[in-house]
Amino acid sequence: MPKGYWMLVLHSHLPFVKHPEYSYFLEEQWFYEAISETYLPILKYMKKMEDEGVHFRFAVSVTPPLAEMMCDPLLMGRYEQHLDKLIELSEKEILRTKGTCFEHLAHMYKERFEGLRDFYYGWLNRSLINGYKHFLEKGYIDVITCGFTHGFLPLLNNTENAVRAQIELAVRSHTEKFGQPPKGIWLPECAYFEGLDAVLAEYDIRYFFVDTHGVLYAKPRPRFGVYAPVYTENGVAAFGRDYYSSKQVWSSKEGYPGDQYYRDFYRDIGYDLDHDYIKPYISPDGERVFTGLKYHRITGDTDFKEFYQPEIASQKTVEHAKHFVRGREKQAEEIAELIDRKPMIVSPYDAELFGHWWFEGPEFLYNVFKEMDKSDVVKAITPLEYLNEYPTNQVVKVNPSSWGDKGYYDVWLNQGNDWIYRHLHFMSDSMVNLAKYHHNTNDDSIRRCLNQMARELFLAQSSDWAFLITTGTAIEYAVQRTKEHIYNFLRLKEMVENREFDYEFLASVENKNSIFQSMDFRIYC
Amino acid sequence: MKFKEMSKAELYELSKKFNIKNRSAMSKDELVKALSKYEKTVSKNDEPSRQTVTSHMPEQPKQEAYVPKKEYYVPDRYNIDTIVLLPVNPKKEYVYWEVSDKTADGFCNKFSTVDPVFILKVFAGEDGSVSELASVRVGKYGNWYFDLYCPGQKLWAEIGMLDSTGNYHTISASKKIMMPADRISDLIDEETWMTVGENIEKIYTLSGITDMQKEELLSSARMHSELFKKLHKTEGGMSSSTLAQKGGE
Repeated sequence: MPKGYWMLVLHSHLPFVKHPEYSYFLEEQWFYEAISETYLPILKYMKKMEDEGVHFRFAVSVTPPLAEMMCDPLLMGRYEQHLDKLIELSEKEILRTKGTCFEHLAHMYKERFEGLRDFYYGWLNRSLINGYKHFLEKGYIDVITCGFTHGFLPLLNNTENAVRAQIELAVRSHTEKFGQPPKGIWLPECAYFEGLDAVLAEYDIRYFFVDTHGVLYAKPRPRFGVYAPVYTENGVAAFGRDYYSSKQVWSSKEGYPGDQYYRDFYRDIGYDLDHDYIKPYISPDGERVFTGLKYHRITGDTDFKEFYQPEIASQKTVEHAKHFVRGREKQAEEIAELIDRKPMIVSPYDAELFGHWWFEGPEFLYNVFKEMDKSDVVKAITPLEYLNEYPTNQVVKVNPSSWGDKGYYDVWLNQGNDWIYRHLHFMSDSMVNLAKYHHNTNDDSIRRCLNQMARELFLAQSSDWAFLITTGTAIEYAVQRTKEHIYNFLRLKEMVENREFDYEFLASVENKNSIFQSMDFRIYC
Repeated sequence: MKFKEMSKAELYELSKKFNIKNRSAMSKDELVKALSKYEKTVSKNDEPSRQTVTSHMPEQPKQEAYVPKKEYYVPDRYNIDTIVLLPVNPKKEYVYWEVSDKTADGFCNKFSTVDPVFILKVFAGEDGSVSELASVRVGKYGNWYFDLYCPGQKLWAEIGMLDSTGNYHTISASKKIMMPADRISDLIDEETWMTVGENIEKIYTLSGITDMQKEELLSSARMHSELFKKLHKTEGGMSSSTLAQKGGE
């Protein structure tokens, strides 16, 4: 019998980025990179664990925009080409590096990409969603949803329907993609406000996650700290993030991904090699970008980087996994002395950390599960399994919080991005009014416009834009995207109000900002 | 900002920002050289540090530093009556408001005022015990940051006007918002005493209550290079020998 449980939560999310008007678009590459580096490798390791009989349990969110992109024929077609090009590039690299210390690395990449291709066309049958569904149906993982477009709910709450629509459409989209309604939700940015639980309960969502202080500062005091879930007044369970297990991965002082033997993120042949040689594999306008082929290890805080040695890095993931599991065992033993139930330790991370940023991350997770399978002290568990074992929990008021810098809403609301909210609130108010007014409309043009307005509003609400503005990456794109959706919304609104339709414009935005084909504006009624 | 400490990929991205010609054919040293004249102009925003959130805001919405490729026109106000209060953290609140021309004109007619004075107020409390926390003179529309420390309290804002005799009249009021708490609650329920009792202090220590103040964690990685850079810029990372020494935790 284990003394406690470990609950891994992977939050997989990308904003909806689709640019049919360009054959190549830089920000679309985020998606292609994440498939090759994170989603496919993690699914592949899950299959491996299943085949090897390794016990694994966790919760994974696939946010609605990500699930939409995974089902988008245009984007997936482009991904397939992207993967072919990677294989082609690695073949060229084998020739170029012949006889050098990089040659075996070029081989490694070729084998890796071919392995991904075989897995994708083979077992997955060209559908990432199939993979998640398989493990969901087996009960190994909980696949959970998120706000429909990852809207930062506390800052959308001025119009209650805006929050409800984010949840309702998320549930609909999730059910459509995964064949069953979600039992749990990853709140966008872990952001909670008082009252949100009522909306979650309305849609039969049984649990969500908050940062450590969301539970620790709850009212009254949570008697088991973060080592047990709490219930809100509406009976939805809240799981609090464990600080220590997060720290082992995220600490800038001692985090595993900073190990000098792990692969360096920045030294990429897209930036390093001769321009004429690499040109077919970077941006068509000649701009250098990451290709994913990287030959160096972190080495240390120096400019000089040693070449990467996969065998050593692989061994490191085993060491780090053992260290991680020992840490959880110690934690479980200590806390089990103090409470009358088996504690659970919740470790949420962005999925893209594993593989995209931390190249060896998926292998680390595989080794963690392998190691934990051997442990008598801690066992991996899904949120639902835990709630089934402990259906009675303390009722508290969860503290409003997020997992962003400083723990509250600062990242999504500051002088750089505060201008967004005036528009979002105006748009959701207008949406509600127009939806109520045209509730029973038979006019196809009005219906199309209102559905597209709902899509534009949803896309504008995505917390990614405010986030990118604050962090200073892709500011221009984030500002542009926000303004584009506001502009489209207002233009469509005018069309509805004046009954003068610009069908060319309507068709172009329907094709481009196509999220959720079965959109129904009446969710705003 | 030291260019020499940056990777080639980072320098390249910077050279894109400054539109350095022929950048894709340049070596790392050449990029450093080409960028050298900008070394001083590279502001905090370009550095891998977080933007600090400062206090009061000018009334006009901020202008963006970057001009989008295709200009999508977005109005800076909608000519409606509205006021919204949003919490930033337990010590800071953001308020934006707008008074429509129609409302403002109607008010001027009613109270025979030519030069209306707009007042923004913030209140705390529940029905019965309401206190006014702030009152500032503002324009017809705009936004404002308050530094009111009100953890666990309900706050709301109002926009109103003063008539010629100095009496305040409310135009619109925001929703009431529960501010986040920034510490452990004083409230302990009875069952907690019966089950864990004094152990609650130890449970909180094991939950990280003191350590989490010492080192704040990076949370969301997403497709965001700065956070990861921070991880990579550690001194040599963690070696297996330090792991062995540190043991479990």
